[in-house]
Amino acid sequence: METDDDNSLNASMGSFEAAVVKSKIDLKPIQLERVLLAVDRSNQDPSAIALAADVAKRSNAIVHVLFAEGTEQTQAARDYVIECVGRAKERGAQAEPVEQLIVGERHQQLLKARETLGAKLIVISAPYGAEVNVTGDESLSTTIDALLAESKSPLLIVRHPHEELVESFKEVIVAATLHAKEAVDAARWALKLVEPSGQLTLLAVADVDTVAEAAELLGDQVDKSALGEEALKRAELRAVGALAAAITKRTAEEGINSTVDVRAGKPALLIAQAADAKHCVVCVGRTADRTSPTWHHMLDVILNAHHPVLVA
Amino acid sequence: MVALGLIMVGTYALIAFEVLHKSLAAMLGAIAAVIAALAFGLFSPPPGSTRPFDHVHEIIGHEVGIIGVLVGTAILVDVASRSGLFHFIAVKIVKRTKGDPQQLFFFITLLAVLFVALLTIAPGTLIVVSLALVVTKSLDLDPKPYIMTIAICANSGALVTLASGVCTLMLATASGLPYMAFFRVTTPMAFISAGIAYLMLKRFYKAQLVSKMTAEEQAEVVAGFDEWALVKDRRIFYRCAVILGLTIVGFALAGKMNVGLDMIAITGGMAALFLSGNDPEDAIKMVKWPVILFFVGLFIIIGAVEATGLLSSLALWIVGLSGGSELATLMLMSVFALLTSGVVDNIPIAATFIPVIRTLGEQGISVDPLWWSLILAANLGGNSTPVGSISSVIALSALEKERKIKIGWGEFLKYGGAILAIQSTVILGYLLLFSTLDLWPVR
Repeated sequence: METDDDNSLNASMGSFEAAVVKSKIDLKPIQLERVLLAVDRSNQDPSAIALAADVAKRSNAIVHVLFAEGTEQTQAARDYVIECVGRAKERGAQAEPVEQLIVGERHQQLLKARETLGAKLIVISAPYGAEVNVTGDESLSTTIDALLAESKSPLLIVRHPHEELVESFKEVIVAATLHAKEAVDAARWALKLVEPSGQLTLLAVADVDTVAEAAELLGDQVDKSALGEEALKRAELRAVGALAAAITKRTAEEGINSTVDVRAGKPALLIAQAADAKHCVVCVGRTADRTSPTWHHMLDVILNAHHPVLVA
Repeated sequence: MVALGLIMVGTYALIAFEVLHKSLAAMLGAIAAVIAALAFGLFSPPPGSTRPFDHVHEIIGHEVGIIGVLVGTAILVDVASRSGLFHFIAVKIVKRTKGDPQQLFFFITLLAVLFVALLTIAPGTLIVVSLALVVTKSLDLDPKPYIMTIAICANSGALVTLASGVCTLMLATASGLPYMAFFRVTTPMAFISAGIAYLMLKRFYKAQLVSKMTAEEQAEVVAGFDEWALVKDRRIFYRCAVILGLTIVGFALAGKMNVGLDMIAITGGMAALFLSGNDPEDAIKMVKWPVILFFVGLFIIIGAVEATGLLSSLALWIVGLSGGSELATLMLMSVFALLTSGVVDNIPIAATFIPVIRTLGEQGISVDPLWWSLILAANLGGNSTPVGSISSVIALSALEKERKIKIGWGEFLKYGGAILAIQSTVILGYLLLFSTLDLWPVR
């Protein structure tokens, strides 16, 4: 059993181990000229418009609004897009409507528009093309699934109506697990999104379920006492040390406050709880490999979210 | 008198030989002492009360200031430690050594003294020990010399200021010695004693303070450390630095402001808690409640023994033994505290001597030199054994847990004992010099 002194030693050792950075991370600033905003007449649209407009305004970028219907574009859709452009302009952003470029699946229409415009960010409601109360919490819709797999630009997914429309990016969380490599892009986007006087939190969670499974698999070959909560937090801190250093340094230069919060538990739930408490945007890393733990972690975070999630 | 004397000695034996957890031993001893004192009618009801038992509350109330300081500083130190402020400073300093083992040894020693001075023994030692373990692993160095210097020099750090160590704090509160006077008497001895330990350990471990890496490789490893990874929250980081600084100023000005040190410590602790945004429950849990119980138990035992007149007799016996000479009394008490602190926790030693010194004061003896001698001897006396001080226990157990390296009693006694022998000689000379030249601070 770990004592208070053991826990304090673990925490202190973890801090210093985190400082042993083998290769430093450079969080290069992101230049954002165009944002593709995909609307679908859902309840999430007002939040999606606000988020797209706010980030575009700060970057002096243009919001391009598209209603991808998956069929020939209707006049009603065109009218709705014009309405959304107006709302984005009301928030002080430059905005333009986008015509459907092709007839096909929704995700194909969105990917084509992204490619043609050179948009570096897609802001989209989830589930796209349907209300949450129709699809249920467990579905992201095939459009989002396809975009997650194929889009070369990050997606800012608006899962439920976002409450804080006035200060959308006052607090931003970068969610990381052991796979800190993928979180680097998430951190770059978090730095892009967060307001100049805002708060950026690196929330690193050691997945206890994964560790428990590994321990069960290895049986007596593994020292169970080395897998306590404090030991896992120490390992997680070590894993994200370089990223924590890079974030702290960049935020210090830009006058943004930053916090490093390391926990052990179920990542998606802890991230959702933290985001709910702060009403903020969460940024997660992405991988192209649908079979990897990072892919499932990303999906879990989005599905548990009651807040916008940026998938970098 | 005999029964309560036996309870006190029995409790100290239980603590010294670790038969029971020291808090449990102290509380059980306290219960036995209260029962005995009530049975023998030693407790008289305090003013405004008719119950003799209320005398126990009076004893605790008399020492509540120490408990307040312990609680306040524990919270402040926990918040400051978690902010990464001290970890940040530590890595900054280590980077200046460029990985040179000798320079690293010097700066680790210095950090042990300074961090303990600011954070008290347990948290200060924990930070420097973990730093030493990580840095020596990265540089492929033998961690033993670094751990030994922390274990021993942390006790010197406890002498730097009035609030640097629990024992120092307890004796300072009991004596009412002013904060600034410590800079004149104990601070120089803190650095002298640490210097002695540093030079002797450097000589003892000469062969181990050599690196297998080239100077360029060492520099490269150390340059790879990124101190920014240690800052958990920049806002809290800066706030803690300010609060800690203000608390130290507050300690210095407490006398002039006519408030107790407990008021300053609690204010500092609560300010840190309020401004950090940390969960108060987590921070309050970091208060060493077993230590508080240990103190309460000890105070009750000593209060009960004091009521028998045993401690007054001990004081008179000391005066008799020293032939009434103040200098001889000073030397006698210093030697006794130096010898016993290595075996028994220095807190019970100090707690027992508080009423003894007060009694000596009532006999017309100038007691300030006695307070100073007890502070120096009780803090450094623990250097002789691996269980003599909390810093040794933390440092040695961390080394064993993290690197599977054990420093046994033999090795510790050999080096720690030799260091304490020299430190003791210097302390006695130092006290003699202060007494002969009348250098003691005037209140």
